[in-house]
Amino acid sequence: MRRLFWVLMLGSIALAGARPARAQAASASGGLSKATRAEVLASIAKGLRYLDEHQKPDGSWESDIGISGLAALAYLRNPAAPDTIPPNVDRSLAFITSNVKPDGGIYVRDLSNYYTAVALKAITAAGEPKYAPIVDKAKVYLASLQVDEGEDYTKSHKFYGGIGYGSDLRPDMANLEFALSALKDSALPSEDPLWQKALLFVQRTQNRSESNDQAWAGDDGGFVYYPGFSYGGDGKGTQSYGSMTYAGLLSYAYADVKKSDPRVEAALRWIREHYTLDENPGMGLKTLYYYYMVFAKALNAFGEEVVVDREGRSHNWREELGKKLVSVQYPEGYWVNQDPAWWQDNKVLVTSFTLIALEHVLGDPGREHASK
Amino acid sequence: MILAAASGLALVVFAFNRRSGAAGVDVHLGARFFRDASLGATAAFLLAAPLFTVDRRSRHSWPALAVTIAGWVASFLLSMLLVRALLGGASVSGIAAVSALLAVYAGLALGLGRFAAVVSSDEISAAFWSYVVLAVLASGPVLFGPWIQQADGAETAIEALLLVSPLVAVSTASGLDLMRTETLYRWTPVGQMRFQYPQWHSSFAFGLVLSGLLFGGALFSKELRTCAVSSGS
Repeated sequence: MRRLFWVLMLGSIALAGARPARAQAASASGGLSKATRAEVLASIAKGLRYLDEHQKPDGSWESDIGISGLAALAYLRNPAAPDTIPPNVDRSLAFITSNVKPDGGIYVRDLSNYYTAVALKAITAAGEPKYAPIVDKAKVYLASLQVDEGEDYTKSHKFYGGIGYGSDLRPDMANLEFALSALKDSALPSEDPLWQKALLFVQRTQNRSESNDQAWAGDDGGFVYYPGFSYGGDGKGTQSYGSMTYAGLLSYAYADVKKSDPRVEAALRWIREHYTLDENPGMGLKTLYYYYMVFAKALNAFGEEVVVDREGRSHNWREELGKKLVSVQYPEGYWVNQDPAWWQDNKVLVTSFTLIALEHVLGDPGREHASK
Repeated sequence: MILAAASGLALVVFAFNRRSGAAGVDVHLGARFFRDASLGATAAFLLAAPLFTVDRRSRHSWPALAVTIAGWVASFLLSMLLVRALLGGASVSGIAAVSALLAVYAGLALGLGRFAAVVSSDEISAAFWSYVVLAVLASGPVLFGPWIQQADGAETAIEALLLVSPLVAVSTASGLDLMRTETLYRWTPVGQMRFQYPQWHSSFAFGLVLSGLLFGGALFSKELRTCAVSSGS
């Protein structure tokens, strides 16, 4: 009897000890806790209510195609949303498609790549057959913006394969990521030569001398803004920084580069070395909420559930990012960056970035693809 | 001579772009040449025009100056149409818009020279102040952009600066996103700000009004001086 008592006693101690250990193991293997999931869902609902209140009578947000497209995407990817398109998103899509140009682009005058790419993502996510002709033309337009032989560039040129703002003189990683994301969403075939050309540009923005033929290339695996120039650090060199590294990693995902590829491994290594949610590494607060968005999308795309940082600490990024974003939401439901650079003083834009990030925190909204 | 200078500048810019690989994503060589030629012509017109009017004893009559400007603009227009016919790329509406802007900016520079001549003590200082004002107008977004970036109403302020800049107006009309070109995007924060480039006709209207004010101001100042001299005698 006494023996049985001790067996039961030791057994319950062991079980009691195992319970938190198992819970810890679940946290270490990634995923959201129930409590955080509920908080994130509530936060998304609040953010969407804020967007609802700030939609203009013409269906747009901020009378801007890009911001309207991102806000519409936030609604369309809301996991709690019904299968039908909400009427306010329908009006937003009507506003967006009223700006279709004869060349297939969706823009007013400036920033034609960003606007067309975001608009294409929104109308593709809506999945309405009536938009199919617009989608087809917009794909052709985006592809036409790629810098290649058509613009008198050879493969050896540092800009070859990139996509820029549309009518300016140079491509960059941020513009290219938006374009590739839209082309992936709208099912541009993987055998299209655009992907291989884009990969050349992506490689040339990565600090990895084995795959980057530019003389300045370092070896930390992170990315710069465009070949030879980075906003990271003092903004005068080629220092890798956070938002572009996640954008570069995402671009590899769109081009079906596998997780085991050394270029992807190098980028993931940089990410582990510079893991933080307090800032956009190398940029401080600049473009912080865009950073959160590409952070969530990229880690989601490559199925990285836990990131082990340079000090050996494991980070369940979904849990941490979810909590972080919920904690910095304003009572009215919006998010805004203290640093206004790159439009991040715009509450609707920043709220849309954040909602998309939170939707990726919850799991794969089914639009980002990666070869694992 | 002015047209030769403009062509020379355009060729230098074009050659530099070709050599440095900074050339644009626009499909056509013709479009690129049009862009570079437009900027070159603007620079040449702004540099040359005040020289005709800063000299108070100048023998150039106003009709003669008007014909000269019309000649410059017509030469630009025809040569761009020729380039378009040979290389394609540039749109006819773009060429027409740039030509109209060149005409009004040449008038603006003449008016500025005239006004400076009336209010300055000599030709040298008149020319100096004319160029200072033109330089500030042309590079206003780059000069003041960093200061207004953090201010309330930054979008309105930067759009006002873009509206008054001849270089911005001409580059936009010729299809160039000037503030997001490699050099300017790198060295000024303007390209990171939210703004819409002005429509070419808004810049045209601004140039026209400012030219009118400058000519009117010059005439008024001259009248005042004449009255002062008459009453003094």
